[in-house]
Amino acid sequence: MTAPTHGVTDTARAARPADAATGDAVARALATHPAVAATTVRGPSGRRTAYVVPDPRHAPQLHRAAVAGAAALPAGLEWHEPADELRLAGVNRTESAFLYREIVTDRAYLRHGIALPDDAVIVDVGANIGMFTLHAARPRPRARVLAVEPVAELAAATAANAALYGLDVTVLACALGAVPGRAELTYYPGNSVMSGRYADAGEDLEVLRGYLLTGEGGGAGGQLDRLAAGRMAAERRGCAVRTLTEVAAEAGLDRIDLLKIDVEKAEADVLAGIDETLWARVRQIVLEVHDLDGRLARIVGQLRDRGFTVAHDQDPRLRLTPCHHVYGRRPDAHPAPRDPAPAGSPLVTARALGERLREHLARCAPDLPAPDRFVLVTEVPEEEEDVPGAASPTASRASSSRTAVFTEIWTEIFGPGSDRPDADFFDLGGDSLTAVRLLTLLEDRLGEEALAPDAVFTDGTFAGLAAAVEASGR
Amino acid sequence: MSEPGAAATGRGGGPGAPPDTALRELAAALRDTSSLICSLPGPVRVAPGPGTAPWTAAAGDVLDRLTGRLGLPGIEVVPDTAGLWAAEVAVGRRLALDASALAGAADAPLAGPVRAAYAGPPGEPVVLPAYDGTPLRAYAAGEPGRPAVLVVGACGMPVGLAAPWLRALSGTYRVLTWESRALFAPRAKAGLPPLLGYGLAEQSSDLLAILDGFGVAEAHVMGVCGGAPLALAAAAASPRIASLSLWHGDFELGGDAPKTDHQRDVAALLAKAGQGLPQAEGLYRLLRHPRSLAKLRPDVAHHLVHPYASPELLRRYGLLNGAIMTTDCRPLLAAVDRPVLVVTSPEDTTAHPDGSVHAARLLRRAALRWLPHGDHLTAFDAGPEPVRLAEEFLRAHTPGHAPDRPTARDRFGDRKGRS
Repeated sequence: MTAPTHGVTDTARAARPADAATGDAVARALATHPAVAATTVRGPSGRRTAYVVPDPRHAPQLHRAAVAGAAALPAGLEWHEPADELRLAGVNRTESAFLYREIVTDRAYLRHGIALPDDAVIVDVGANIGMFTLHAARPRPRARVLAVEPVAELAAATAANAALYGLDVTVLACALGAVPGRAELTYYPGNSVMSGRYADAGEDLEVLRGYLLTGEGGGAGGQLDRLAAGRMAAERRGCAVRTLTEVAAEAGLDRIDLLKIDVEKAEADVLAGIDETLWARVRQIVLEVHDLDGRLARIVGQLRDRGFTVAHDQDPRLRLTPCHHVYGRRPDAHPAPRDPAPAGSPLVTARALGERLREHLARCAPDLPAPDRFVLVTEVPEEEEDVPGAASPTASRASSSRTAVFTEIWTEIFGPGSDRPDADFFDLGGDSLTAVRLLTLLEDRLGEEALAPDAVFTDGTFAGLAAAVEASGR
Repeated sequence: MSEPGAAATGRGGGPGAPPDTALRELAAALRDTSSLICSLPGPVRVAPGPGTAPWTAAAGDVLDRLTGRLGLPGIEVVPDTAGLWAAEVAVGRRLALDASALAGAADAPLAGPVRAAYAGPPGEPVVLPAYDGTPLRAYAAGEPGRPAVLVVGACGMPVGLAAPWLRALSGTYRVLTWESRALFAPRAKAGLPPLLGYGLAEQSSDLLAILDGFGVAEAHVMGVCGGAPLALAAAAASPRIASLSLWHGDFELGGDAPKTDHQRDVAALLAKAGQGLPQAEGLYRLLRHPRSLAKLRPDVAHHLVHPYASPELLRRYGLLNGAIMTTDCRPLLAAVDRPVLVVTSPEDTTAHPDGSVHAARLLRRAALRWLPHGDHLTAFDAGPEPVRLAEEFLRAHTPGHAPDRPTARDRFGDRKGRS
């Protein structure tokens, strides 16, 4: 997590009366925005932070986000904002961004005529952190989702996310299979999307390498191997196994408008756990199939035999992997309404709130400086010491605070936990634009020449860049 | 030495291709990359295409003769891409030099390939003066006298990026475009003209100068990406813009619509680059690294990196595109009363689609159309669906296609001078 003690340095304290007056004026101006129930602004220029209590009436989702943020998330989870319109609990930022792109941007599960009615009943098998559950249910308040996810952290994330948006989602922390029982699964904390009962480290590493080779920023050689291997650290877990027939009956599902299955090579097992009665209730199905030993053709044939119109495709980024998507629709299914058009500009993230409030301030008080960051809170802190991240009086002095600033910016960009000494800028997903963002944020805080622009190419590790930032201050 | 037939295996087309096919393709690629080649500081180095035979003196001779005929500086061919900068790698990918194919066509005459490379669209530029005297490289396709369509591409991009629209529409329309002021040398080896102004008003007035230069009274203006705010500004200022289409527009709307990380990052980059040459030089050192190509579409990367080709180009790009990305479009949207087609796609992760949604809301006569697929760059590709959409709108709203409307001449004849 970010180092909080750089928040107030000696210099900052010397400027405090003027900063306090400015902060109060900024807070008064911000408080006139309808999304703001209360606010306080603390800190000197360059580190001026607005602590905002969202208005529950005008910004209900933000308010829920603040409440949820104030409560401790289950272990292993953190809040991510992969897009302006989405805040969610996840296990790591890179995967949240990947899932957002695959599910929301690329609509991987809603192609080939797959569409959902407003009151859709959806079974999300292999829900991971619930990205598809959110994508399907957020625009459809009457939708009901049964989300099944055997990894406890991921199931907890799905539940937290459903609660955040007030969705009708039942989360089952179990695996689905051909018969009830227990099983062992492999969980990759750094690559949770490949976790599963049939995980095979060698095989999965090849799939991941294939993806990385075709993906954006894909490299080759040692760096690729380091990146792939770093994501494949595995844990073995035990989990309960149930059949879909059983859990659907328990949930009282008399129809399934969409059965989505993404279970990393266990898809045939899930299908084997569906009895004839339930099959007749499934209107649409979409599943990721790992085409091992002719499985793709078998499943396509099986669905056609059951009366589905079937299509399948492969994401170009997965062309070096055996992963395909299969889409099945009942030919007699009534055409569902089109997906709702993207919402205008939902206010659900601190980032989006910050943008709105900066604009608001520029309009109503153009002479006042905009805060440098916005933090959602449920109560306005009364005293400096109550401010999340406020400094202790013995805050570190200039030299170590440079590293602290760098650490804060680095983790803001790449996520909590990314400040490992050997963490590499490019391995973490950085690119030239990210480098510009890093430079800009650093220079805003530490002045010009805080870091040479091309430093990421000479030593792009966290430790190397932190040392360079430290050295630039001498 | 390769056999003549080797040309069929690399650059040079399939079996039975004419012997000068390799030359035609290379000449076209050199023209396509000419702006970048001319903008790079120092001699341009490129590596042969992957998997091709080692470079030979005979192939080098053909390349030298061809660059000479096209008025381009010499190109140095190096064994591989190690040590090359991003722009050089991008040029090399587009040229895809194949020593065997070129040597096989060594005796073929150059005149035909050179003529073909200059044939449009986009063809050769004509240099037209902006209202402040800045020379602008402008292009026209399609018969004069047809209804006019002016394509406003993204700031800093060579004409090649917009060329698919010129090709797609020039069968029916007089299609015009130009390249951003002060970012392109008016003639080979002429150097960049001075940057006399960079605000949105100056840049959008270039649009009217192009209409003047080609003798066009009135036009439909098609603004793509960063071209959309320019098109809006021109339409807000002049009735000569009969209708607009705004494709995947990158609009500054205050806090009214979200922006993507990409938009925010580029805005930060531009702000810094525009601060001065030292800042631009620092960013240039970062952006010239080949790693910066990683997320660029390979077939158009040589266009996309043009504004980053030198520190001075980057500084100017920071000012010009910075003005486009930071000028509030809301007053412009409120001022435009012409028919407007607004197009975006949920798959655009470069310019947030909500920006287009909000823009359409603020316009008085807008039709918002969602393309189901298409990232930002596909807006420049002029694929079948966007072209169909554009033609449908043009048929309904372009002078010459709408018989119940006054003709362009009638409408413009009442006005004195330019607006």
